[in-house]
Amino acid sequence: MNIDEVTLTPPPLIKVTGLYKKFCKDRISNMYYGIKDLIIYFFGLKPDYSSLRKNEFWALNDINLKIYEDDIIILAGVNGSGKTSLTRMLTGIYENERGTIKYHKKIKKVISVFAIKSGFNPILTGRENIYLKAAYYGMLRKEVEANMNFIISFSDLGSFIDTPLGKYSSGMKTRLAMSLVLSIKSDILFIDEGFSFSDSKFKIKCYRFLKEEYTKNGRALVIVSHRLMELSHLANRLIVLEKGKIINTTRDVVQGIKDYTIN
Amino acid sequence: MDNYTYTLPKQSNKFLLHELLKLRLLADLKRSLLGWFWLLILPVFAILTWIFMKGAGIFEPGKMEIPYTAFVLLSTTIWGLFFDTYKNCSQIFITYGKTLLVNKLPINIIIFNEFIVGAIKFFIPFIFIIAYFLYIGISLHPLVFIFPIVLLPLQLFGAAIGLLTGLFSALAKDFTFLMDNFIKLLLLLSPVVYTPEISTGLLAEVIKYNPLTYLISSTRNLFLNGELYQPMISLTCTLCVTILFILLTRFFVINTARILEREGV
Repeated sequence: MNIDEVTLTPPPLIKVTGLYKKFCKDRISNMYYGIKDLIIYFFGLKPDYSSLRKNEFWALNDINLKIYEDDIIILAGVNGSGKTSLTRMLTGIYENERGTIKYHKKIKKVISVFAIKSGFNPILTGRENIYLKAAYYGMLRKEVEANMNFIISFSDLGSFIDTPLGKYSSGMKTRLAMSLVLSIKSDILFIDEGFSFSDSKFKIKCYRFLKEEYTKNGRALVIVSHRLMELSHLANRLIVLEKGKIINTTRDVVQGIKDYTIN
Repeated sequence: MDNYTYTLPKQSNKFLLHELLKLRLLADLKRSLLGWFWLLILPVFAILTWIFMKGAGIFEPGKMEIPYTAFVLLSTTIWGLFFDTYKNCSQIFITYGKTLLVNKLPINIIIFNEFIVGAIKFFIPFIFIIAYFLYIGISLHPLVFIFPIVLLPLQLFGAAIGLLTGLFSALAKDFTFLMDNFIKLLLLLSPVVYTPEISTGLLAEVIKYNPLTYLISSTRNLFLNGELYQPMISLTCTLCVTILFILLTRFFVINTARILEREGV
């Protein structure tokens, strides 16, 4: 497979160098290492992150990556290849212990969407859930209020917006969650399997919106997905992970998908 | 190179705190028909229970400054603040684990939120207790207005133990079982349903070295007669628990991501 080491101007939004992350396969070892590491940290020391202990494995193994303005990236790979781990590292949810992640200072907002419907409360109405989830995304009340009409209209929920979320179908929840995400002006947006439950019509609407918003606006979009062909018209870059390593990064998305599916 | 940073931009915390508080206080109440009224009904129910027990002659422990029912009602409410804060903080990974795995939230705001939830759930019944005390003729000392300040170290202590328990419990449930039972035992080893003066033998020694003795007795004494219980020791305990809270909060904040990624909570 061809390795496309991208060097574009202006400078990248995110630069990742020599990034590693290890996890533990075994439950008992995981508890033991967790407690041991916590005690080490308690005394102001740092555990060794350079090597693996028994039953540990590299979830990410020497990741080097740059994300540029106007990049619309598909992050592909089989289950367990490290896609979600990498995304969680880039969004600061997982701790970075080995390697560097540098963010351009012009970045004001980074939004990450994992498990699109998580964080919703079934007792609260759609509208109340918008406020709740928007707060999780670091929005201000006035921003939510300014975006409310867009969210209701884009999600096509109409009067259901004031119905408790527990009464929504899976698709309605996805529409609400995705409309909220799309209403936020983020410099980098990460979406991890966000379109799984939405209908084709809504998906196409989202893809069109994303293409408009994230092309030639100095922003970047990273989508973790297995629906590669569906996204090939949206994306301008493909990154393939295997066993925690980047095995291909290319701007020829269609060819990259072919190579990935054949191999 | 100067144009780069190792950290993500900061988020708005005020709106997040407001939404979290609303969620923690009101989401459960929304499931009930009486809703908000439960915040008023529960403390009234607790007071009525104690009045009934007093009327039935169950509590006759001898001569006290105030009726025993009033003493226990006040003490258990103070204990409730300590216990609720401990529980809220020890369950942060259970309450917020999934949310924290998919959103980069400032963990100090979540700790602060749990702290406020504990305080709100304390002060609602507390207002009823004041009303009940005035009704049965117990006069309150004018210094009762600084009561919340004296309560703070007790809540800090509960939060500190809760945060430490929460961290280790997320890795292995043994710590939850151990600490929950230890806290139950601590209720009996602290002067909650008795005064620190009546204890004898081994219990007297335990009470002497138990920081809760000073934190609980001081808040109770201040409420009733405007004095701290053994002021110098109480102030020393306050200082120690404040330092402990700061250290453990810092430790918790630093290690949250490490626990989340290890356990997936």
